[in-house]
Amino acid sequence: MLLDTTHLMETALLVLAAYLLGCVLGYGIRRVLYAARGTRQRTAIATSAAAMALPEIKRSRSPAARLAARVDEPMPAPARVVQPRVIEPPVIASRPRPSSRTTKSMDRAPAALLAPRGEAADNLRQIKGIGPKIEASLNGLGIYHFDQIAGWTKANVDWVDDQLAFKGRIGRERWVEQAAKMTRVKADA
Amino acid sequence: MDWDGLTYLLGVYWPYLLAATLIGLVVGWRSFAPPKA
Repeated sequence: MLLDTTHLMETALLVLAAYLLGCVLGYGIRRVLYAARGTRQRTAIATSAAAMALPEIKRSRSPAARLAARVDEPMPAPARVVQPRVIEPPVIASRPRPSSRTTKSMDRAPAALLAPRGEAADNLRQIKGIGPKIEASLNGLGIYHFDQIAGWTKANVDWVDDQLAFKGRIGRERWVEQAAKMTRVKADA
Repeated sequence: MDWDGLTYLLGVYWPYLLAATLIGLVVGWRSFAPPKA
């Protein structure tokens, strides 16, 4: 039995060594291949740059002829023009707008705040089921505090569910009850 | 472990060792993150 255990340990060590060897090999091979590809690209760039520069070197005309040739030549295009990209602000959540929403939808929407009350918003991630993304989405909808969620009606819950495409998650995870509890804890503290 | 024992284990368990090496290769390959330009 002792022999078997020793045997097992040795085999396990061998397998581990093989695995580690594979890890090092895989990493090394990919690194070498990446470096080789980078060198090839650099060589290609250098070659093309040399090819572009070659006509300039070969030109051995008189200054007047060179000037005339330059006038005839089309303007060389700039190497690379980087167009400034206008970065649109991410639309996290669509705040209800009276122009685009029906009156019925507006009635279902919970009371929203433009900014958190006081100095900071509540940490909504304390509610089980709310992560950083959902918290950001809720903030985008004007929900910053536990008492806001605690005060949601069924219609409000349905509306937020629709807005964030949660498919009943708010009810399943009992956000309103959790938020009410958090509100009480916050009030007691 | 002496040399005979090692060769015996290699002879018997080589498929497992090969499999472990292949898994390691994949893991090592995937763990390489090309530096961002």
